[in-house]
Amino acid sequence: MGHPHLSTGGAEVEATTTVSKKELATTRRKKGWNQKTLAPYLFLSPFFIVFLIFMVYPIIESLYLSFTSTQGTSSEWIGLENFKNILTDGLFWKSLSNVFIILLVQVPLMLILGTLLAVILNSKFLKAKALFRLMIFLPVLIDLVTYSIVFSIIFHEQYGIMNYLLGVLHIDPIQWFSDPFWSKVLIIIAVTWRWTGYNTIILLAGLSAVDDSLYESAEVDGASKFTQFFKITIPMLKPILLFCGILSTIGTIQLFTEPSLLTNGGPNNATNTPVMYLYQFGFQSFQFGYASAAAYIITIIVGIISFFQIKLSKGGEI
Amino acid sequence: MKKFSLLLSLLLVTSVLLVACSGKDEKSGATESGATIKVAAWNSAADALTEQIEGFNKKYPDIKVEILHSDTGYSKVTPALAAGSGAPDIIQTQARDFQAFLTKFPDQFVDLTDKTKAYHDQFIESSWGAVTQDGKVYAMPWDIGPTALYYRIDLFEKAGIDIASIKTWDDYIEAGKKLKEAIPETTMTGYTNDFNLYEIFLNQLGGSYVKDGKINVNSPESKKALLLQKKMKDEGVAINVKDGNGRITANNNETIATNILPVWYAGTLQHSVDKQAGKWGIAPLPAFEEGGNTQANLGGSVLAVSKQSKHTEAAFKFIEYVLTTDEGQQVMIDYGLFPSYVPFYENETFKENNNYFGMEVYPFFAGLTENIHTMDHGPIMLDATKPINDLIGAVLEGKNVDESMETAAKAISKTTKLEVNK
Amino acid sequence: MKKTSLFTKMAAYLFLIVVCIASVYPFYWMFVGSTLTDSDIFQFPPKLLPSGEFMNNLTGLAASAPVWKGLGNSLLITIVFTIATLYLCAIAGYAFAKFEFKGKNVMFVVVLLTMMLPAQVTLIPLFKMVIGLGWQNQPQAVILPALANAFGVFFMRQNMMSIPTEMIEAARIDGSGEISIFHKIILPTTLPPLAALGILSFIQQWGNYLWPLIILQERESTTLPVLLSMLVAPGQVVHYGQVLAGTVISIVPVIILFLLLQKYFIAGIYGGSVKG
Repeated sequence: MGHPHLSTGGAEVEATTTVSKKELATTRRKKGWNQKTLAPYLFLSPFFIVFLIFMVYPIIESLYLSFTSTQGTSSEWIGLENFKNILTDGLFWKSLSNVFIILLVQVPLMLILGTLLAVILNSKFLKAKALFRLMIFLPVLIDLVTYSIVFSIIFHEQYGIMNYLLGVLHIDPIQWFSDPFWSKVLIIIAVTWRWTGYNTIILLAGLSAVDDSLYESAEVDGASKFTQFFKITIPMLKPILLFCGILSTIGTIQLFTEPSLLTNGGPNNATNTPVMYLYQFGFQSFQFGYASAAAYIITIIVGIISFFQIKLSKGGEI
Repeated sequence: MKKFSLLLSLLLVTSVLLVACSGKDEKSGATESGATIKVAAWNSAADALTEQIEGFNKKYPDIKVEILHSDTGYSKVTPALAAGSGAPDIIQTQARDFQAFLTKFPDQFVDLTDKTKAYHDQFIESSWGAVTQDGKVYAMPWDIGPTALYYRIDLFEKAGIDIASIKTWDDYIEAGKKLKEAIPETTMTGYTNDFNLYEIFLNQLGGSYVKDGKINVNSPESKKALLLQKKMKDEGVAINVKDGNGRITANNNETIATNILPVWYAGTLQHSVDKQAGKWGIAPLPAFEEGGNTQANLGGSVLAVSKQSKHTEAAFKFIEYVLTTDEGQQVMIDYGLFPSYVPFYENETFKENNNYFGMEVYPFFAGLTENIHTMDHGPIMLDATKPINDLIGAVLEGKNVDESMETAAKAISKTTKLEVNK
Repeated sequence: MKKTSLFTKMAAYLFLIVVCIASVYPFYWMFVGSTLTDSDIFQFPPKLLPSGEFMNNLTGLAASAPVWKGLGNSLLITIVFTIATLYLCAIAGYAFAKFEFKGKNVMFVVVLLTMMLPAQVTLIPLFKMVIGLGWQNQPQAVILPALANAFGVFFMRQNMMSIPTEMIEAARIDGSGEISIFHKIILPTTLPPLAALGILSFIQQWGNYLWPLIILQERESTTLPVLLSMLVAPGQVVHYGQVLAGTVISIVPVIILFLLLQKYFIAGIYGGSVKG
């Protein structure tokens, strides 16, 4: 974000006034400079203490596990064998390709919807904003019991509302749960339903930071709403959009809840995901070493993708 | 604005204090007096055990019992077993998973061979297989799941189907077609996205997951079980109801007319399909060929004592009380847990008439336990869930059965390092 | 200022209403379900109007699980966590957004990387540690590990990047210390993102499932969502009406919090603070 740095100008003007004031200013600036060097470390320390103990340390231990055959209580150093086995397992690649297909459709869809909703919720003419905001945000609060039952009812192949509505339009009933293609569509719909409101709220918080005067001067210049959206809103939202993009990418690659709840990875692994794969090994068959290795492979993949997302978004600066 | 940050810091301080205080309370409250044993169990099993505490304490007032409500996925006990600390004294597992637990967590369970010897003849013979390894017993069998055919009496009448004429699965499929013709919106039965139906068929056929220590999912019995489920689906007499919720919906809306499930489903029908009281009957399973075996088991669990326990004697006393006394089993049956402890079959409570079905349900199921084949699950079930589900999915989708069975066997072999039977 | 055209307004309202119906329907179903008997819940087509079973379901639920204790535990854990994480993330995010210092990039990348790691992987090591500390069944076992909130730091950093640097410089020239700049200028100007992060952190912790399930083993010490999930599992009689009544209770605090905080989302970020 390119905000002009106006730092020293004021101090120089001040310096020319009186000696005593000048002295005062220098001592202040000196003290400030020392403080300024130490401040970031001080500010980061509370977070980093917790972070080192409860995140970094367990990560190091699980990194060690990934090079072992740890299964239940037995453990042995086996080097890269876990990594080799995962990377040669067709099921892992299948699950990876599944999330990529879902990712490519779902994340753009959700961000477009989210931005649109955020702009509408932020617009001046809208009445009952609080109510709309609440309703848009609700889905992320869904509990898993309701989520699973309601989606099964709506998308039920024999008597679901969705297939009924399609029937009214003379479209053949869709096999939401038993067709590999449509089950992915179902997952995309479910994920978009649950997470769009969440992203809308983040984008809305970002939008409210955009200075109104920018729009006012654009109005004076005769720019249309459409131009304003692309010339002001989108550029101002860029860091937040990128944030949402990276987060949603991570979330989709780590997709777990929807497929395990709605399709159980089926039919025939068409909606299986890498984290379901990891979970199956780690928490259903207790192969903690293998599961840890899978987790690091997933992390590396997510890391690479996020890196390119950051690079590709102009400027290369998050 | 200032107020906000002031409020924030104030709240932060109070909350830190709150946490600190609640921590202290916890410690001072945990004064020792006699043994306290913790039991991890799930759902209605946990509820039943909770109700047992009162009766148990009449006999053993010094032993305090706490029930930890767990989940069927074992996420509450496995981190503790893996970490070697923090485990409860008594752990419930599914009978079919216990061998896998013994393999994956060696030295985590107390040898109960001597303690259980006296009870050996009092439990259904087939239930000891799951808890024995190298001749030593590591857990006590709890409940079992004798399986039957639940069917809608009224819908069968409407379609002109005589339940007595259904002797084999082929008869069942023919009856299903007849039903569909008479009542187009109702299908004969439903299956869920798991391997329940497969396991029922496999057990009925006398097949097993592991044979002589080798993976056996590619056996002829396995193929027969898979092909029957596929045939049911292809002939339009079985639909996918997805999961337990889907099955309840299907039953309530007359989408399906029968359920092929164990004794515990009687409880679900009574509770969640209560409007159809009097409309349901129970019959033995059809056989694969005329005069063949009509009995099968699905499910059931065991209770084991953790080696991390400091009170193994007290823990076993609790297990003994809840599983080998009439008082204990009386509570269990109230929660629909069908005992593998045979002497209880003579108890009056056990013989009570059931109003929903208009029959003595438990004695009926007790009659379906005599010829259940002992089934060797081997130590593979925790690793095999996914490959077996995939196998069924592939077969139902029309993939080659033999190839799919090989794929599943190989997948299980890869993680368990066991050989595959040829 | 040009008026938004009527057509645009209509289109916007229509779009919003469609989205809202889709968003709200499952919750409406949940609410209706909590007022029905169990077999009515599974009737098809689904019932659209509530019936009178809510209190029955609720008392049944309270009899089978310590829901009110669970609600209390959930509230304690979530409130303490949310307040603490807001402060830690704000101050750390500020350091990353507005300071240059040695090791900044490495530290930031490490924080980002942990966000990309599937959370399941640290469960076993974390479990060993927390058991070792003797925190089993205690609220800090859930609160403290959750404070390693990489997401929150990243979120605050992104939002604080747009704070004008001259505002901070001006305060320095006036002689304010760095800590007081953070408390008196930065915090008040970032109320909208703080409110947003507050609600996001709250729901994240409120719905947190796997870790509390593992570490809060006693029913009396665990959270409401964990309690409810224990009541629904294959192979047992599930009292759906009771569970749905529980989920209705469980979402009320989150909705209240949202309504309380949502007005801050629209508060202008520079409002009233540039001059002060």
